[in-house]
Amino acid sequence: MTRTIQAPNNLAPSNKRKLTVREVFIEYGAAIALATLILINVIFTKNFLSISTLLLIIKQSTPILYLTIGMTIVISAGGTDISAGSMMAFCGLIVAMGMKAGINFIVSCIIGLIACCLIGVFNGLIIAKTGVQPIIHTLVMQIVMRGVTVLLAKSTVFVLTSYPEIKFLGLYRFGGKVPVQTIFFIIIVIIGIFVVNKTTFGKYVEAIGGSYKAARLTGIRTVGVMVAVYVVSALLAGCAGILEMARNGALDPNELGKLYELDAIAGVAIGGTSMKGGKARVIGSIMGCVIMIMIGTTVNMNGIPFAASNIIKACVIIFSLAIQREKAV
Amino acid sequence: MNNQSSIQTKVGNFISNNTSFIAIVVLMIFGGITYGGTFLNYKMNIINVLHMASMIGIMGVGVNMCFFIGARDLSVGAVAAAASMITALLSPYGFIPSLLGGLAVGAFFGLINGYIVSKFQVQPFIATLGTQLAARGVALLINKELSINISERATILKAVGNHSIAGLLPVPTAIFLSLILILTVVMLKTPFGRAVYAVGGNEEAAEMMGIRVSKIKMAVFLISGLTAALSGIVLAGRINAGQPTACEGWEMTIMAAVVIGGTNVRGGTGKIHGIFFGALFVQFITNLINLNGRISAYWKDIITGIILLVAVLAQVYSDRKKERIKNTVKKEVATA
Repeated sequence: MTRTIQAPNNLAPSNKRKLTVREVFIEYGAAIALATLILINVIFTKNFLSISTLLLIIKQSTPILYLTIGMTIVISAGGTDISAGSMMAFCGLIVAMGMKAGINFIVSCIIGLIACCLIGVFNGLIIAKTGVQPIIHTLVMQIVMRGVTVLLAKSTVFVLTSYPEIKFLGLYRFGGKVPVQTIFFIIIVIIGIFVVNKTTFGKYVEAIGGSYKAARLTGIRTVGVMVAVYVVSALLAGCAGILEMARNGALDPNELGKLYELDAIAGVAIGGTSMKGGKARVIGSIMGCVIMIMIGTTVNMNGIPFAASNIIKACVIIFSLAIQREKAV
Repeated sequence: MNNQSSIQTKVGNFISNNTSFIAIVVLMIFGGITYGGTFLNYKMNIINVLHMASMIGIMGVGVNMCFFIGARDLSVGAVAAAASMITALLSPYGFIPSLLGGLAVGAFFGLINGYIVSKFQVQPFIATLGTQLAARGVALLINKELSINISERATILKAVGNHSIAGLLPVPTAIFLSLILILTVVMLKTPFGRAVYAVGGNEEAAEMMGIRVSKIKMAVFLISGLTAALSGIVLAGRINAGQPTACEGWEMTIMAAVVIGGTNVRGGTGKIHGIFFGALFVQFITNLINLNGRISAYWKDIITGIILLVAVLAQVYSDRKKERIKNTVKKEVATA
């Protein structure tokens, strides 16, 4: 996990010295936070220590995990994608409309994901070619795509529980216990870690996030990689949309995925990915995502008003950013 | 010939400097032609547009300031909601306490934003995202996610939200205009104003010039928090209640208003009064769509979003043009 820092450290003679408390916090912040959260839960929350809690958290966090992985890649390339939440609803809507029109579920999923990819291409081209700030552009896309989704759906809620595929994807449990989402959880974890840590694409993304000009001068096709980054983000957001829609058994074009991108960004921030770009930490992001979900679960299970979870989340985000502050220098 | 071209450049400069104003005139002509008297009736329609635009605008003044230093403030909507809740909570104790209470909320969140951004070197976008969550949480917790009615005796507060001076100028608009006036003077005539532009233009250079960058940032976020709170207080007066879910999603509209008003997203330049036309423009679009009645309200978001994107693209284009001119001048100097 420390590969970007390690190179200079290995050269330095003081390599063998012990890590200070602060450095430990910086390196393993997300893991420590997760452990603390679990510990607090074990002590204060009744019935927390059971397999069903774990499965519940997996079930809830799977859609957001897809967003978080996409967001990790975008942020480590030096961008942000706040249109992801609207993208979820957009993809969900296309799938739902396809199914209402009698098209096969798999086919409509593919159509939806292709549509997301096209929008990702558009995002990437605008951001890489014109130099519009990613925040501004994806903000526009967030507004526009939410509007388009609601207009296409004519503001109606689609109820999809009658479709067996949706029922399977949302509610099926292996052996009556393990939710089907577990598979998708594991798949995205493996793909995420592999793509970011082991492929050249991952290296290119980090190079571009570190320095766009330097990456360009070393011969990386920056525009192509940027487009790919936003396509991946859009694609994963589309998957998240389908999963979330299946989990709800319904599609509310106004609400599906709303503000999810903020949870995803927060998860990435907690996980130790540099917000300035140039360093991706998928494992940290996964933990960050689980932390965000678990805060909600904790608050729910203890009967604390839900709004309090907002404040706790804010504190966790700010604390984690504060503790990482010298890392970027 | 020479004279003619100078007139042309003058016209060109006028258009590029007053795009938002011209756009509003075009919108008004369009509205006048399409809806006639219903649209142009000052007391029935335009005054309402002014009223709503002022709510957005008061908040937008602070966001505009943040843009000057190249930062974004996403927390304004939530801070306004929290301020409106506190104002409504304190309304039975008189106008001054409720006003101060609301402003204190704004100052608190503004200072937190400023502190995180300047001391921890966190990107403003992420930091204000955090405070947005926190402020919304506070607003929801104050009265268990319910709104608070404003006390019957709080007549001043209600007047601030609803009355118009001489029946022509809504009080929020008066507040908005005076805010613009004060801050324009501050930005143009005081060392603080110049320091803000310097920080936005080039932070390191500003630091080397001896400007205390972190203090300037704190001050700008403080102003942003205070204006957001002021907007929340006016809103509480307007709707007779403090609402925990108020102003959700306003950040986007306000950013659109700021950018359409001509403030550069990269910071370092911009005028305070741009937000006036920006807010008015955004509100006129809403108004035109509402008057139509058949078009879905969601078109408003789509149109606002597309206009924002076009405005930003135009900015980027003109920036590049300027850069190119600068580079050619540099080359000429070098060859000479």
